Amino acid sequence: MKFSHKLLILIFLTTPLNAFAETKDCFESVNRAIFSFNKGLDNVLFKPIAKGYAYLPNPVQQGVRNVTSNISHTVTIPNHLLQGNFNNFFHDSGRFLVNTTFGILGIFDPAAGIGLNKLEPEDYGQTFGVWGVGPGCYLMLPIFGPSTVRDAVGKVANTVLDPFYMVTVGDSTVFDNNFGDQTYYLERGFDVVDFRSQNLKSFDNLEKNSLDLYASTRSLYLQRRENLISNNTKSEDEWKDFSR
Amino acid sequence: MKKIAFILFLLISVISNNVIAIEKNAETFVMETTTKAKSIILDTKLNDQQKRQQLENLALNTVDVEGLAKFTLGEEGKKLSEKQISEFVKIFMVFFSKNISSKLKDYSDQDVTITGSKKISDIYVLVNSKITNAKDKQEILVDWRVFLVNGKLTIRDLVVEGLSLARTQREEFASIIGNKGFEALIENLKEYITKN
Repeated sequence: MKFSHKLLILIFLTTPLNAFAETKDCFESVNRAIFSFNKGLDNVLFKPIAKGYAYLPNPVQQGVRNVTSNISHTVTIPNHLLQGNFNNFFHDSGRFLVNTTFGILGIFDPAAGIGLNKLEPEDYGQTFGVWGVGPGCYLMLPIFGPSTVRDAVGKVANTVLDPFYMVTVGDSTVFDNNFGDQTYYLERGFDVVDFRSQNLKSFDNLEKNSLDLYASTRSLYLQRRENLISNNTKSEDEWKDFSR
Repeated sequence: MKKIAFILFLLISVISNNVIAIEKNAETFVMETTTKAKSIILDTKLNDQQKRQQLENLALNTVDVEGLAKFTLGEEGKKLSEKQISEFVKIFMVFFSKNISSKLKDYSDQDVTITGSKKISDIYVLVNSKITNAKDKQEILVDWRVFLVNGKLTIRDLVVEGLSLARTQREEFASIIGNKGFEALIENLKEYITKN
């Protein structure tokens, strides 16, 4: 049995069947130590690179964002199908086709011009959630950041089941080994740097105004994942029953 | 028969006017608040300190800070005495006004558009808005939880792209209380106020 298959079975066995079950921070002290490590790494590596990247002209940044976003369809499209979102499956398949061809490998976004606007991304972690798999414990992963047991397994699936990974790094590579690896890791790197660059101000603001940055990050991550799984941007409303 | 139909028509008109009234009032209230905030941020005659002071005043006048304070205590609040809660509310008010003005003062080149609203109850309206960055035209969806408290419209929460600021604050406070206790939260709040 392949490693990825074993992992998928493991997630079903170790997490409760309730996608919105309360997420416990079972390994908080270890998570906090990893969070400090990640923050240090961000300060010396990702943040300075992202700051430099932010000086690039807007069209260049937009082109990079378009390319990485287009490639992410290789994970999003099969997950639409697995979640039974057939309309979104056809929408994003069309978008991917148009942008990869007429948009020159995704640099431009002509699909948006014909009504195929960008949708929220989907991944295997979300699919497990839609299938009813609970988040399990909250995890802080080295380098990758906040996650849960379910989402961490999803992250592995996002890589090994990703056709882009398969044709660049994996067994089905169509490139020379070195070129394939370089293409994949360069794309991943640009994706991270572009995301960090877009959030320079908001991350600084969060850090400056949090009493416990680790807890704020955990809360924001879990809320975001809940929204992505329910495909809803409306926050859970706990105010209805509130009285002073 | 005609009389009954007329009375029904009147009744429906009155009810729907009331519904529209609270929703429209909430939308106007949010629009006015954001316009005031933007005019303070863009006022070149004000220095940073004056801007912060005016934004703090605006926040205290438009947000139900006491309600928010009690909400952020969540379940932990039930374990506290009246005296502890009242001490917390007092410190939270200062913390909140400094926190919100610090978050706002860096934003300038953004336009707010009200996109709709939904009446949740007789005293609660969710106002939907879109904030557009003038530079790159990126849009952020922001929902405002507006309540009618003592006859006055007031904001209790902002939901930015589905992320509730009040919930985030509550979970942050719960973590501090859970790990270090209520006194540590008070100390952390005081420390923040001193630094800012």
